[in-house]
Amino acid sequence: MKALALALLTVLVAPPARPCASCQTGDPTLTAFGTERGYDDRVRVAVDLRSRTDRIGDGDDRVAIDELRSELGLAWAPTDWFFVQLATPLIVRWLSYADAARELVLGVGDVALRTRWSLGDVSLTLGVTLPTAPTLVRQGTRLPLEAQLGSGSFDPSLGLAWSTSLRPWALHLSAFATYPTGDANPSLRLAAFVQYEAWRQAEHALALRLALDARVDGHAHDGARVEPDSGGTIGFIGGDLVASPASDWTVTLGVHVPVVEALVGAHHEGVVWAASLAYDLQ
Amino acid sequence: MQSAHPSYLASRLARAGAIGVAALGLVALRACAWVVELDPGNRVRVTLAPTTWPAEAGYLRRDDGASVLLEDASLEWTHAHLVPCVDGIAHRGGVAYAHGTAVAHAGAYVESLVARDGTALAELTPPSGTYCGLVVSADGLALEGFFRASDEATWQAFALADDAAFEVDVPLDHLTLAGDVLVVRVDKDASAWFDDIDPLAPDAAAAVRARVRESIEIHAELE
Repeated sequence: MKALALALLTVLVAPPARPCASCQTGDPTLTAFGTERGYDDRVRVAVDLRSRTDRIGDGDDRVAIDELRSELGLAWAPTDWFFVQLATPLIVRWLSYADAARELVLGVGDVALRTRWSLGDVSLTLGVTLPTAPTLVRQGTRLPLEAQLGSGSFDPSLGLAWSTSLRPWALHLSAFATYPTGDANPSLRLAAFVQYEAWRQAEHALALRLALDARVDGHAHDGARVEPDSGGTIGFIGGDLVASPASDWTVTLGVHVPVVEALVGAHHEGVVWAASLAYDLQ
Repeated sequence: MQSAHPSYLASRLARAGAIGVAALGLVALRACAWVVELDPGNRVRVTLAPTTWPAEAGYLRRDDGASVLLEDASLEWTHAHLVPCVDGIAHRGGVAYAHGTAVAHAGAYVESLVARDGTALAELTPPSGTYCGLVVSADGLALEGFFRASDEATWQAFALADDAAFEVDVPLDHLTLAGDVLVVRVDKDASAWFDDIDPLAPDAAAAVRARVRESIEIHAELE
């Protein structure tokens, strides 16, 4: 009940739905920060890989997107209650247009600076993404917003998370909102993870994680024009296999399947495949 | 206390500085992105062939012995578009769009009808689908030159201008585009432009415009 109440509270107090340029799912800080309480001078490097598909539009301006996104993260805890992370996305997108044209877009997305402030089981995440992704053009024309690698603006974000451990069970709830100051659509990402540690020894651990993700997007804009096929809500159910094959190493493999899709207009997202690797330098 | 030790503070400052420098470095990587075209997709290349003249460009000699010498002749093309098939027939009201850009060629192009060389009018990027026609539209016909009747020895100057819009179309037999290139050539034959028309008459401009329109032929074939 305590967990449910907190989850409801985080939803109710979260800011209204705002955009996310890259339509991600889940808690973006999970791999870099972990759910566990930090320790003084912890340094963690992590890489997140996600594969997803997007189909936007149903007319002659439709575009199909297949994306492979990696996020290289460096996180450091100056104290046991404060974490700072630098995350650099590297994105590959295959775009297919209605006129049978196909493009490969490859580049650096918007770099994110995030901080986590912990108070017991509750943590607050404050961050900002920087407009480091270049504006992509083709034959002199700017590619559509959905094809861009970033929002092109400074986007503050706010997150609230609660974690608790009842061995062998662990529970993590989070809400993460991003508010782009540009044309991209704002988003509120809600995530709930229930983790069962299936096997544990002194230095080896294997855990199964059930994940429920939801994302609520606002409308994106192209200048003054509202993008018709943007915004709405999507919910995923998925699972992750979390393993620590060696001391300080964490490997995650997962899949997230959209089960509730209430996106506005013609917009369909597919299954998200995820993998991550994290290493604690100290 | 550990937190008071200078080396402790120094190590933390160094790490914070490293993260800051890394952030700045990544900001500097802003230009690191590439767009690679894997497939150009459907293309419809519309070209204007040079006007066909019986003898030299700009000169016409009618069967009745009269002569027309055009010093300047131009036609303003306004757009070109494909007509998608709807229920197996050309849907004239339909104009297809792709990449957020109208298939219809926006922006007028003024063609010199006495030029020796042809030119590209438009490259359309239509969505994949089946098409039953192609339409090119024009207006703004302007002709300047001299006319000499068969029984006269002197040339008389004339200037004709007509801004009525007209279309020329060609049927396409359920042409399916799926990553194809369609080459369209617009031909004009000036041989009969002034037949039985007195360029000095008040209604000559509309009459010549009708002849120009009749002389236009469109040829389309897949590359």
